[in-house]
Amino acid sequence: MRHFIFVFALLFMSAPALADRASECRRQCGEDAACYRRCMGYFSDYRRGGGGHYYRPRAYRQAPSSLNAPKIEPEANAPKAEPQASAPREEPQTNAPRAEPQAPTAKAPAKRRSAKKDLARPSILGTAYDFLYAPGAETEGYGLYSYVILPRPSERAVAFLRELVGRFPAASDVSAAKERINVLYIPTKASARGQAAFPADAGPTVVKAFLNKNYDFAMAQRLLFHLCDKPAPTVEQLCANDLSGGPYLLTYATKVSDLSPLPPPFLFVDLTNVRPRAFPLFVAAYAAQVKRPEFSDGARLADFRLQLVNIVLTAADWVQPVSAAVADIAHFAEAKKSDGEAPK
Amino acid sequence: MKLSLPRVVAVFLLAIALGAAFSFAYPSVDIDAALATVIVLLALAAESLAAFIYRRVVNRG
Repeated sequence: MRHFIFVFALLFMSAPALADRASECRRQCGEDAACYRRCMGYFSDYRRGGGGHYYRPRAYRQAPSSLNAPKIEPEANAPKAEPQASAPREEPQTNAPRAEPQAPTAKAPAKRRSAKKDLARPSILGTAYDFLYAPGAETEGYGLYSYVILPRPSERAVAFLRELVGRFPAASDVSAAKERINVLYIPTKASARGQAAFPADAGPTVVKAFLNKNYDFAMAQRLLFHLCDKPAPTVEQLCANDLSGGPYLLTYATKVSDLSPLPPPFLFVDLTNVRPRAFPLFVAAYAAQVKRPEFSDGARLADFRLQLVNIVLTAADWVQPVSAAVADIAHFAEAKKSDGEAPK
Repeated sequence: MKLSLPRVVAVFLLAIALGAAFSFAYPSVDIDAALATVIVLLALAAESLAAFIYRRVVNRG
């Protein structure tokens, strides 16, 4: 009973502070619900994942667009990738309350550009895949640009790519307006230019052959290097590792294959610790995530349901050797009749 | 741990319920032998926990 009284007392004591914060956030954010949620700190600890580099998506959170929006001046041609040396080091910081401490040199223009794009961006209707034969060769005009990053050929990579090409149509088969499509680029060697789209029921042998012969692992590595060139805080831990896990998905508002370093916001999905059997669920969640107005918040991917199934499937994979060992110990042989049929 | 028949039946029914719930929650995931084993283990753990709590409550009363 004393515990309950203690909990209630704590709640009553914290209520005024919460109310103050809520009113302050409402004053700052106005009608912007996403800004309000960020200001109140909802989801923050959960998504940032204090413990370990797990399968949670690494979603870099963007500064509140409502605060930046009125200050945007129309820019004629925003620079794509500014060279490191020529960019000024001390840039005037925007008045965003959550300005990130490490600022890539191309951050401010890109941030304004992405904020402007957020305001004008129509909602994403779906995802389609295409092949990327050279850095910077992406087709202009898509709503979002995503990249399938597979560090090395493996069974996991085959399963993941098979899930992607089975779930999403080829970009050439999509009739919707480009600005409403999230294009999922698969780095492909230039020698395989003209690669035909996969059939919807592509088997593992087809995908495996593509991975071994035509997938451009060097370009995929370069994309990771772009990400880890002055990495955002959420991917710092990943970048400190050997980057041999994966698969990874990187989503950005513009094409990034010729952009380095990569200024936030972006959505980076690290599926290193996700079981291959759970790939369909995570890919489905990813497809839903990119349809959100704030594609980089990772809300759909940081779902308890997905984490639960991943834990259960991990346990199932641990049990697998036990059942295999039992099967090795116990051998059952059925007696057969002389004509080869099993007895009834 | 003493496994009486009612407890075995309870574990069995709980495992079926968990399996059905899993199938409804994740229709795209096939339940193979390893996953079924995990579900049975979870049912066993849940039943043991429930029995433990029940014993504590009864002894206190």
